[in-house]
Amino acid sequence: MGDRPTPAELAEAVREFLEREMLASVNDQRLRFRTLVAINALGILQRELESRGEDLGGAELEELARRIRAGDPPPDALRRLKEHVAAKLRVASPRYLDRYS
Amino acid sequence: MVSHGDFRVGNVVVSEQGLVCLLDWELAHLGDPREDLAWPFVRAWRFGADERRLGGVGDPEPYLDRYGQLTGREISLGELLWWEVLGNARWAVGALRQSRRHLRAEERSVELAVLGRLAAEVEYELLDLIEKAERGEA
Repeated sequence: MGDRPTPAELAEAVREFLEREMLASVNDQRLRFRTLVAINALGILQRELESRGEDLGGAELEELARRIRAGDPPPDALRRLKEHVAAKLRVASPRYLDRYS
Repeated sequence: MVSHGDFRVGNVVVSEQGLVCLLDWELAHLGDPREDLAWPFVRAWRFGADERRLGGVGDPEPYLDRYGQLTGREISLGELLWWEVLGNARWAVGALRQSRRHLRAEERSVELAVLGRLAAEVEYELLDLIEKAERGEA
């Protein structure tokens, strides 16, 4: 379905609602924390829907895992895995990568 | 040797007079003392104070020196690297387990669910540590 809002835009709309309208009225600390986690989860969803899938596919990961287990990793295994995990982090926790620069 | 199993700053109680006690012994077991020694190096325990490798509050060298003075056991930073990698792997598995509790409906919770995605942070730390070890930097 190509209708707008797109899935990413819908996730963004809900996230903005929680952030801008709900959060201010949540006084219970525990509930407030969970609301922030929910806002974060919607951010992950939005970024994943907007991402171009730069992480490695299942078949490629299985092959890498098999070779690592066999003690015969390809020479660029570490570099490929790091790029794969960096791509996952750009979706799940983009600011985390700043800690390594 | 008895290992505490969750030896980190959050489980140490101190007063102005010094050490009061260690909390949370439910993970105690017989094992290698280096497991406990390396556990507070795990990046998650630095709570953002990344440059202080020891639990976000200190440097490893004086800590290992003091450990050596008290026990007579000389343990190098180099040999703790393997245990730091293991500690991170344990932490990552813990995050995935928490997420699985949500996915299996043992406890539905957005907090638990999100941990399944945040495990990628620990994955990155693991790869970074292994890369440093290969370059001989750690």
